[in-house]
Amino acid sequence: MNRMQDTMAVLRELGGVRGCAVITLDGLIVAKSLDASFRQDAVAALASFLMQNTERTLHENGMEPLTMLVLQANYGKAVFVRLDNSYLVVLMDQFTDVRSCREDIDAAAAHLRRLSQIA
Amino acid sequence: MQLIQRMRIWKELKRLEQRVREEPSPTSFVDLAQVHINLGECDKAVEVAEEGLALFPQSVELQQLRRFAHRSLLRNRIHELRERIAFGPNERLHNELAMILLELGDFAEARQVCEDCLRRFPEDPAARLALAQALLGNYYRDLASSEGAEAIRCLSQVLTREPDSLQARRLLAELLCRLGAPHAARPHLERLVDAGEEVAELQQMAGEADPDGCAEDVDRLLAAVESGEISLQQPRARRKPLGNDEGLGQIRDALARMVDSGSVTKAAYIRGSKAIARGAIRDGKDPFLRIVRSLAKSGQRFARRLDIGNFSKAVLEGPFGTICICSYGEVVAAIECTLGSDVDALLGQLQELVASSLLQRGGGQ
Repeated sequence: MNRMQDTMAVLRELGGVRGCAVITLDGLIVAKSLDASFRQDAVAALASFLMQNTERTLHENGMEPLTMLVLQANYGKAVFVRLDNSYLVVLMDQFTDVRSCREDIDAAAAHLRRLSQIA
Repeated sequence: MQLIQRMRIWKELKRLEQRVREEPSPTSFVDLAQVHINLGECDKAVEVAEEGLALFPQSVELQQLRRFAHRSLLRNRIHELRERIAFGPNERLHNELAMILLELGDFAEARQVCEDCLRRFPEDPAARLALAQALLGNYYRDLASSEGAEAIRCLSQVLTREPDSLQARRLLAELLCRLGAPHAARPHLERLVDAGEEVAELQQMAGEADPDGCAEDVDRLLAAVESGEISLQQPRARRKPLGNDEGLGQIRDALARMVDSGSVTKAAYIRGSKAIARGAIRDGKDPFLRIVRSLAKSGQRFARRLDIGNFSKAVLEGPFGTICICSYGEVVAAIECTLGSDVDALLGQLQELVASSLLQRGGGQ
């Protein structure tokens, strides 16, 4: 198990987290730990679609890239944190309070950034 | 389609059908109907949408999906009818085609079909009535006086040939009432009353248009409508609800209150292509509005495809600040605020704004 995978495992232990992954902007999975209900190819493709689309819209309108995106739906939540050339994606159930996990997610993102710089 | 691909689709269909039975929700019906549409089975998609609407009659998505599937079904039928007409034209096929085109709002094409039918079958009363409906549709859309005059002439011809055609009489009476020509409409209204038709709304329009009962010149009225000097009266059923302006006022006030709170720099309420904006928003092409529209759309797609229901809220953070979005169906409310603002409280206000606007419309699920 590598260090990125360890970080994924730590995130998965947070209450309400159903999956997490590091995904590049073009949809490649670098590390993952996903609940069996999620298909990894679907998560990668959809996360890539959403982030590319949002980044493009921001760029076209002369705005800087995003640092974090929280998305909420009827049966789940998704948090996207920008790393260097990739994104940390955390999938949660609808009852999880994102604020209570925020510190852990930020810490995990900082750790992943450090790891990618060393690599 | 390859066998393996067919089997995959069949398996997916079975899964969605089971989900509809076990966990019925607008989303599960929409997903199932969408697969039928992708397979080109629009009739089945309409059936699924109708089943869903029986359980969730207020679902905007199901209504839109049924409309889309129904229109696709009609387009397929148009193609079929055109082929059959080319092979062996007859009045029945022409009329069915014209009625479908009228339903789809393609008045120019419907007019062409009716004229073609009348060239071949000059005595066909249904084609003449359909032609009048196409002309009327064109007139109500463009308000060109020549088309209005043509529609009146065509409806009068139908009535000369078939004085008992209640539909033609009603269409003519409605046009005259909306133009503000109650004198000309009166004989038609009387005939409709004699035939036991419900004309209270038309009589009311006639009364509103002509309080002193003076005579009128229909051609002059058509020209005045075209030039914008007077406007066509709207039937009561199509008038905006009285509370509508008041509702928009409340939305504007709520947006203004958020902007006045200090931390919010931009606020907008978007429904379809229309937006009400407050704060530092220059025009309809403001980057904030573009980002909100784009994120609401892609967020909905992401949530639906990932099977986590409908997208409802998003918070986007960056060096530019924080953008908060609350969405329900086609309605989106959003604000841009400075970093460190109380995002939860602002999202709560946006949710309240969206919910109250939907309640006023009587929409939502």
